[in-house]
Amino acid sequence: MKILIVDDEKDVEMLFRQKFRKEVRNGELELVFAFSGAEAINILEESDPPKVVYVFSDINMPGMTGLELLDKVKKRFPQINVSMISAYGDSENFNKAINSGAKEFFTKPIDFDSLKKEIKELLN
Amino acid sequence: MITKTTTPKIVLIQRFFFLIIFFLTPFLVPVHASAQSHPEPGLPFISTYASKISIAPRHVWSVIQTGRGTMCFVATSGLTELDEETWTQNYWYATWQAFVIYLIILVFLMFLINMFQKRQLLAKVHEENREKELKQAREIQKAHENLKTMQEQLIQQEKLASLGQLTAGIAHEIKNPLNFVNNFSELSLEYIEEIYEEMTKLEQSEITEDIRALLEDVKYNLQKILQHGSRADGIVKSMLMHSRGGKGIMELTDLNELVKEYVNLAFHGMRANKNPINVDIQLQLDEKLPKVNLNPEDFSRVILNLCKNAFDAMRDKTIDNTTGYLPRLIVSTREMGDKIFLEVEDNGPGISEENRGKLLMPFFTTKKGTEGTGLGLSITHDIVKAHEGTLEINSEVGNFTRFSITLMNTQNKD
Repeated sequence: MKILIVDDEKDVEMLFRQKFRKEVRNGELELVFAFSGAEAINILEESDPPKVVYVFSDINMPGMTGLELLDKVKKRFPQINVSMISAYGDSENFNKAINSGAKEFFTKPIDFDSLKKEIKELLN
Repeated sequence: MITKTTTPKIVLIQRFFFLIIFFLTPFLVPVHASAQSHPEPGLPFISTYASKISIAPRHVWSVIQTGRGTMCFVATSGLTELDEETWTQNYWYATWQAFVIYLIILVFLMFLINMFQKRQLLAKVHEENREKELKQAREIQKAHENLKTMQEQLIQQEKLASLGQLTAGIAHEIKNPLNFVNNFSELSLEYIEEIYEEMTKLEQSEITEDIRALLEDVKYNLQKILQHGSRADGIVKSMLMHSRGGKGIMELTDLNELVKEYVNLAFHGMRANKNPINVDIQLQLDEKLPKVNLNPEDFSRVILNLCKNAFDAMRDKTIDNTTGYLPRLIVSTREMGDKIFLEVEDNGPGISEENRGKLLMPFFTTKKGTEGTGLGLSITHDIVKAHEGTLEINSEVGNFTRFSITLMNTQNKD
């Protein structure tokens, strides 16, 4: 299963790779990273239909914000799940994300246990 | 500055009085003269004079009646050559020249008095005006001072508000790198555990022992990184809590229960941490206290904060004096009319006058080094304000500190 993680912080890649090391090693998961909204769209467009089944995106990013990315992804690839990850867990962002079709809303610091649970559910 | 003023009554009366005196003087003078046995112009003179100006003597008499002064004046000017000479010699003070001099003197005197009075009046008006002006000036100054303090307060509030926004911004910015620090150190700790496991599969030797010892050190360091990262995270969280402002649900709450629970929690929290102290905790709760409309989550922080501060303060005092000091914390609730009081009193070192003013400011702390963030009381104050309550601080250095929270008795309203 291919998962795309979008965050402008490069270190997120290391963190996710290490946190999901076991799942990646035994082939359950494949992690792809994008560091901007535009890059994420490019990755999704690489193959049709896209191999990515789940997108985790940060909200606060330079250029395209996570919420804009959410709208675009939902418009073009409605079958892909999108969840938001943000440091700003205020109700305004939350409502916007959920109303635009986000599956979940995770707040930073990321609770990897709940994230793993979410992914496990998808795997089964 | 002096505006044109109408002549006061007193001056007018004075003038009139002098006029009368003026006309009375000649009338008085002959009387005086007669007292000195000088013959005054009598009836024979009147008749002579009357015939001279060809009017009836009674008319002349009436003139005398009207004013002897006038008559005298007329008389001196109307005498025969001989008579006039004697008259002038005897009654020099009643001659017309004399009267002219009197008149001049009188006019001069009147002028003098008038001037004097005018000056006095002017001085009085001047004085009055000056006082009025002074009074106005004082009022203006007072208003100005009020305005100034208000302005200072506004600036202070503005500063605090922008500080709050800044705090929120910084907190978010710090949160991200901090998460990395915490996450990576956590991961590394997991790795070390895995390395330990893997190492058991190796042949045990001196080298593996060395590696194990080194790994032990690395593990210790990582734990420290995680610990301090978590501490920083806690500070950031409380900063965010601070800037977020009052959200959450207000509900009718049993304040006594909340107090019991959280005072207990604060106490055990303190006991579990380093440098625990013995505290005599006295709960003086009003059993008839009605339920209070408040946000239990926020308000529990208030109780925790106040208790924690009290414990910290009393701990300082136990360090400073060892002679039979027993820390005591009194938490009391009471209903009073439409108000609910919650008081937290400790017998700690007290708060100096100087510090009392700054107590509620964010980041103000008297705690050493890393012990305090300086946000506790600031947050407490914000929460109390969000509950439309007031927070009052009473303290006596060396004796006690008392925080009094006043809340509206919502049940009383219904």
